[in-house]
Amino acid sequence: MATFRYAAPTKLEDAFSLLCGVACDVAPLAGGTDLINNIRTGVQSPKLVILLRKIRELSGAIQEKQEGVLIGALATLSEIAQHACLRRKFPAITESANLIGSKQIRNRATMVGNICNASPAADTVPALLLYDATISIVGSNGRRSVPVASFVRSPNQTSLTAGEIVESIFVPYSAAPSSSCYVRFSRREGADLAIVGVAAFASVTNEIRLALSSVGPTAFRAYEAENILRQGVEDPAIWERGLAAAVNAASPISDLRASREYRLALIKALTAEAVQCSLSRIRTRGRQ
Amino acid sequence: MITDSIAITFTLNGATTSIEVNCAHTLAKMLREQLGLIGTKISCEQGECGACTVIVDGKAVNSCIVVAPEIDGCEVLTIEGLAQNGELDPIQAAFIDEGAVQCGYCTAGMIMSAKALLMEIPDPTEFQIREALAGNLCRCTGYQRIVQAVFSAAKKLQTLGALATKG
Repeated sequence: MATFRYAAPTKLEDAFSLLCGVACDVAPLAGGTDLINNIRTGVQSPKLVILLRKIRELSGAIQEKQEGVLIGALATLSEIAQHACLRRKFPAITESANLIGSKQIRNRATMVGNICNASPAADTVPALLLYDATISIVGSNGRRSVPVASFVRSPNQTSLTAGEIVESIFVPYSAAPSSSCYVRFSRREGADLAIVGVAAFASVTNEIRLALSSVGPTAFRAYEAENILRQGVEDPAIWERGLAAAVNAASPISDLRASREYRLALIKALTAEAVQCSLSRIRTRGRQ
Repeated sequence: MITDSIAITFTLNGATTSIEVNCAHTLAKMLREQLGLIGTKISCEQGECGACTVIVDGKAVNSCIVVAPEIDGCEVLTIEGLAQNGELDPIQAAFIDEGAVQCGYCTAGMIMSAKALLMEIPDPTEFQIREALAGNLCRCTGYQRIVQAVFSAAKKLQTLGALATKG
């Protein structure tokens, strides 16, 4: 493996000066499940790796606040997947965290790392898009918040500038009672990326939200499909038009995992499944 | 402080261990090449196959994608730490009894994943066993006997636990 130097700062302030020091040759290390592989394969070749885990101001806590849930930068996917409040309020987030990699990967990898990686196949991004999550960024010039939709810009590109790191993710509670789900198709659970991932949200006020992964340069909301489905999913014509709009919103590529045509067919099937699942979860909750 | 190598102290199989590590070395490399603990296997070297699984602070991790300096202050359990006073851990014994070992290359990782599972959930369902082992690939056995071995180890451990409580 390529060599690199290492620092384990204990204060954010120290991390900032290290991050700015050698510009793009610096890589922050949280879970390391992508970074260490990228270094080994030469995709990334940082001169300096900065361990984030010892920084006092960074947290792995998942906190229930008045308006929503705050997920700390160091919270692992295992911790997120096991969190009772997240499971109750944001099932799509729980499911997406639990589908990434294997138990060993989830025990190290963080959700913040997943979004910072900005992979077109990121599993947690669609679920965060459903809830209009905001990303809290901290740097030597202070703090700023951006919606997750503008945080992930293009494959492997985020809106982070040199010297900045993500401090937390805030997921606001939805106004009306709601539920959600994330469904993904991949070749092997526990060891492969998504071929297509679909997150759906449904509320008692008939709102439908949809976000797709692995079928475009970044995960995205399918707003047109949402607007059509909102008019009444019981109407077969609306249902079909809504699913078609979800398919039209995508621009998948053919790669080693699946062809473009296969992905387009999957979008329709998985969107139907995700929406039906979210709706049935609201009904189940209604009976409780 | 920016550094190429660093002195770390951690608990390895119950014993406090201090060692100077190269910052770009992985935990797997450190265990095998510096500490001579070659029970931990390196196979895919990208966190896919689970052969290098060890337990860090109670959680199963792929030691091929953890860098050695991260282990400072942690508690690490490897396959070498399971047997106590010459007695195999019930999970190791169950793998032998159930015929869950063929070529053996995945076995240490499988057993460490099973150990982490049973430390967290002493009475797992079949789904929980399969989920815990999903990151451990075996190209020989077809997995059935491995799942069965984890089941039977769980039962054995529960019996031992009940006896210990009574005794």
